[in-house]
Amino acid sequence: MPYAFLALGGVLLLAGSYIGLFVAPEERYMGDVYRIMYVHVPTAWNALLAFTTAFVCALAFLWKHDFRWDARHEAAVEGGVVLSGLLCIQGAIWAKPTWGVYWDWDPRLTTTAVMFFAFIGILALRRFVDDPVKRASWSAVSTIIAYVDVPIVYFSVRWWNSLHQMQSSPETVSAPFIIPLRTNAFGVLFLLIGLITLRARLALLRLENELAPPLPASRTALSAEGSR
Amino acid sequence: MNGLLAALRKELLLQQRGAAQLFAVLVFGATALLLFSFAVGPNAELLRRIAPGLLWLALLLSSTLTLAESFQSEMEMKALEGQLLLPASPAALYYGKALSNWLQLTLLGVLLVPLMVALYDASLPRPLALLGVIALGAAGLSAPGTLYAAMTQQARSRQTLLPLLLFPLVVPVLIAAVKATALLMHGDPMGQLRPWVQLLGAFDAIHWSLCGLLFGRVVED
Amino acid sequence: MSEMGSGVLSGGWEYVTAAYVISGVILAGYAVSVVWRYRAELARRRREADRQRT
Repeated sequence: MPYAFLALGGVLLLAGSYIGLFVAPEERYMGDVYRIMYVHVPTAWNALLAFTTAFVCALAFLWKHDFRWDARHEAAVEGGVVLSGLLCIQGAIWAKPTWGVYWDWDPRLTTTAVMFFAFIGILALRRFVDDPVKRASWSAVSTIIAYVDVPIVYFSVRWWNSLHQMQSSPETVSAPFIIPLRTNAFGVLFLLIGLITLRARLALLRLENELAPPLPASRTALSAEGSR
Repeated sequence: MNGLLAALRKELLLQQRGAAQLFAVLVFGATALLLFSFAVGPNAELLRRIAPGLLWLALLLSSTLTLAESFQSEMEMKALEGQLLLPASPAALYYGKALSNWLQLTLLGVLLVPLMVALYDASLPRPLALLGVIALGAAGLSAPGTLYAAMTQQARSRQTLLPLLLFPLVVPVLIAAVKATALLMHGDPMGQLRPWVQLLGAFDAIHWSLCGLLFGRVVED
Repeated sequence: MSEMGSGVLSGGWEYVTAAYVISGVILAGYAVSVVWRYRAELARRRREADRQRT
């Protein structure tokens, strides 16, 4: 089932990118560079969605104590980290031809960079804690705090930067530009759903191995145990 | 409430005996301020302009030492489990530690100010207001910092993990505290101080309640 | 945005290409990594189960 999502997502992305690159008309002020938006905006929506999913899973785990929620939490954080990292790279590539610099402290992109570091820290936390129960509880607590912090980070960066420049990216999108945008948005969404599902299964398998490791493999060990 | 007061008293008692530790952190912060000026260069005008940023960077870096140390006594004597068996709730334990850390960080900030004035030729037209901003900023560092210190002191790679987790989270504190300090030191013709102070206050309110609520899940077994 | 400059940005296809290629590589690469790790874990489980049965 998740493989179906992966395949569908891939197809939609290929279709949407083709339309966005070759079929959609040129934009009035940015020429062809604006086409980056067709991968940038879908990535942005889905990065936020991934972190929101992580937040919900963290809450669910703390409430239900069910490790399946912890597995989904880990998967969603990892997906969010990949997407937000990609978002920062795309943002830098777009900024260079339009603003002349790779980084212009745009509040949304800067907040994304902060989120990227915050959630990579949470992945590091998970790696360095050996006790599965502590690992699950602590990372859930950390995700909740990090996610609650996101709007605060956004507003503080926006006020900090507001004296220097106006909002940079276009807010409204007109009709001929919407189709490739929506196609790619669903493409990344289906890809994300498939990946989080598989990654959560992986986390659960690893956890089961951790909590109940298999018996020793050699026959001699087994027979020695039996004869005692 | 009794539990909270008892926890706070215990913390301050420990700190009295650990005054050497506090002094060491102060020296670290002072060294950081000195190193910043070497990194920036002997440009008096530039140093004066960025003095608020450097002060708060020094305070942020020093806070990792203070916060990490705050759970050291628990780790060494396995005292954490012992404390949790007491009738005082985990929240009292948290707030006691967070308050103690807040006091230490505020003291540290205040002690670094004269050095900043000397090294960067900074001016202090409104010292009391600056104290308020230092207190608010220190509160913003100590609330999440105490929570993460409790976690990381039990994990591997604890030296790197605490700043790794804490620094992205306290970006709003850094931004707001530096902005407020700069306005206090360099003048505030357009009256922009209030929103930054409100931002600090909101951050503190949110994190002091949220981290206290969640602390129980961090120390439970 | 109309205040920003007088003309249209011409060209810039190298940036567009870079963005799409990097996005494709990272997304495809992550997908491959997840699928590969998952199947490796499944295979390892099957091996452990077989070993225990014998």
